Amino acid sequence: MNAPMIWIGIPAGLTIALLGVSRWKKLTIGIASLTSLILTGLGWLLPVGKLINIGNLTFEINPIWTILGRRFVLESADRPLVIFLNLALAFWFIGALECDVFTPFVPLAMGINALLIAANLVQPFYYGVILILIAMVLGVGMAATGSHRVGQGMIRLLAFQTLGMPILLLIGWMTSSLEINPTETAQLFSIRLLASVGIGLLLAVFPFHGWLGMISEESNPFLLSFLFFIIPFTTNIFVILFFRQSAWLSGSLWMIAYFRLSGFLMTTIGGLEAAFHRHVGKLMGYTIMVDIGIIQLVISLGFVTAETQAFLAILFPFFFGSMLSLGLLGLSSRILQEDSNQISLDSLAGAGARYPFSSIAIFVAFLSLAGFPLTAGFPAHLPIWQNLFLNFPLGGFSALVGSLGVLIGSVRALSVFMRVKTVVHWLGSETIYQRILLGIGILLLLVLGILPQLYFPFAFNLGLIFMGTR
Amino acid sequence: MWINALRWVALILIALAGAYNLIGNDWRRIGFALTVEFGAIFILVSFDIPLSLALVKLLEGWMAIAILATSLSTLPLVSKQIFDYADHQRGEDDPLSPKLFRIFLAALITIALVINISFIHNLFLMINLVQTIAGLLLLGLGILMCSFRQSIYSTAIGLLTFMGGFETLFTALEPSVLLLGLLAGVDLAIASVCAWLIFIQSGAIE
Repeated sequence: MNAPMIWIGIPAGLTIALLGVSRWKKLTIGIASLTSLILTGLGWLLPVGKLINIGNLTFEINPIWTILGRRFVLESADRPLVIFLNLALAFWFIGALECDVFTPFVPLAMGINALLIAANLVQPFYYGVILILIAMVLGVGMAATGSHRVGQGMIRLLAFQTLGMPILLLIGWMTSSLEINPTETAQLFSIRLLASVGIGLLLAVFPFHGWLGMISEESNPFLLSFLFFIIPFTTNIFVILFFRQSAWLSGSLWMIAYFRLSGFLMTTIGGLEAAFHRHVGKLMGYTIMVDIGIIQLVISLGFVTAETQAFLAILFPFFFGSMLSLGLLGLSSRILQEDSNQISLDSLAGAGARYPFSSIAIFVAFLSLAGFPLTAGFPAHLPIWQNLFLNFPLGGFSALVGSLGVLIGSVRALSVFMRVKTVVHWLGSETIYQRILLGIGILLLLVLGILPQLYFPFAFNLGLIFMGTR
Repeated sequence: MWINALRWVALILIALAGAYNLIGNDWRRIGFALTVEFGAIFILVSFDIPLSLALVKLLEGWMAIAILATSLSTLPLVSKQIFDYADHQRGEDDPLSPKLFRIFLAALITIALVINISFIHNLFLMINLVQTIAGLLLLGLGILMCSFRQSIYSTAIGLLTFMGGFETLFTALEPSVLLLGLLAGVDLAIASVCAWLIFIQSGAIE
């Protein structure tokens, strides 16, 4: 038995098995949630590459899995990644229990997760970009099936990701060959230029960000919230690993300037569009734009500071807050969408009376995504803002503009929800299970914001372990 | 000598099939032109990798086309508007000017390619010159196909053409079995998802 087989092979196999039983929603979700939680627990408890003694039984989990001459390597330091991703899966699966979502979402999400974990573990590292593309293609299929329609945003996502993959694969090959033959300095300019375009396409950075807003309007918000968490998380981690493979690329002033510029543009444009939105789904898309921009700024600072590991590790608590907020946002938006079949602001006037828990959940989730004090997003946003203002004030200003835009957008949405003339029933129309889930989610976001010591050191240490070795 | 002649034949086939895919309106003929393109790619890559692997590449490309074609042929609405520009009416004559414009842009790409080929070839000296031209031409034509028409079918054809161009170049740089398998997986995933999207868009799922 080896580690990649446990965290990639088992979920991949289960994806196919669960597709066969997906007509039974609760069974599928039950098996998938349990498996994800077990894989999270194993990631926490099972040491990789060390002898394990259980009674008379002694065995070792090998970190390497060789397929067709290439290796997938999952060492002890990579376990934070699998803990995080499997925890996120279980979180979304539990939400799917009480949400009108097509059941094959569950096995597909599991397959996408396995592919994205594999993408960060394969050797040579640049092969990972192919696995990311396959995961994205599956994601497009999932989004289209969930919403029963195909929009231009989905096609654009498919096209941009497919165009970006070969570029990154090529620069991966070029950087590897450059390390063997460092005298080929003529290639440096080409690599930097290609890297800027390839990363822009992969991470949906300006000017390739158009699909974020478009797909948000077209898709099922619950499925989209999952994709909006898992895609930025894994692709950004992949880009960090990609850059850390070659010292001259991560230290290149060109690339640092590129990350700063793209981060500045993404946070500013995302914030401005969020402030003037007319659709809750689109607000989610613009919020993700702001988040991607903040991550770009963090990466740009992480590569110039002396404490790279500690700086990049801050992304783990940042993503933890995003995970909780996006999960809650997706569930509550979907509950509203089930009622009026759309989530444009015009159609949601007075929704606060019919769906009070969902309306409050949407508002609190957006507050947390904006990094508002006393919500779970704030403890990770604060050190990022502080460091940005110290090292790159323009970036700090743009990050604040982005968060302010999301804040204005969420207040506008809340004011529309509260346009109530008569209150039918103070508990609204949600089912008891929906109220419990939404209530737990809202409480969690607030409690973790007030008591960040409950999650921040844990998530930050996971980040330190991961960034320290990779 | 004959190897180089074969490469030139493949390049000419790619240019002709690519040009047809830019201006053609019949989904069957477009599919056939893509089949020819994959045949030409097979000729080009068979000099860099074992013949059995090149055959896998050929079959995988044809399978991708078959997936798309099967999806289209089983739909009740197989008409021009599935893959041509959005406001095109069935039975309406195709205007000549958009076709001329597309061919003009394809010619511009070819000219830019010929002018810069020595610089590009210097970056990838391991690849044969004709193969480099063919690969880059496919990349350019693939992007044009994706950008001129908004339909799913033409996007799929454009993306498969683009991927074919990349595979023509990259197989010569890194002839790894896993890489070939993964790239084949990408082609099949694109074709399958696009076929599924066409199915959803046709309303058959309702």
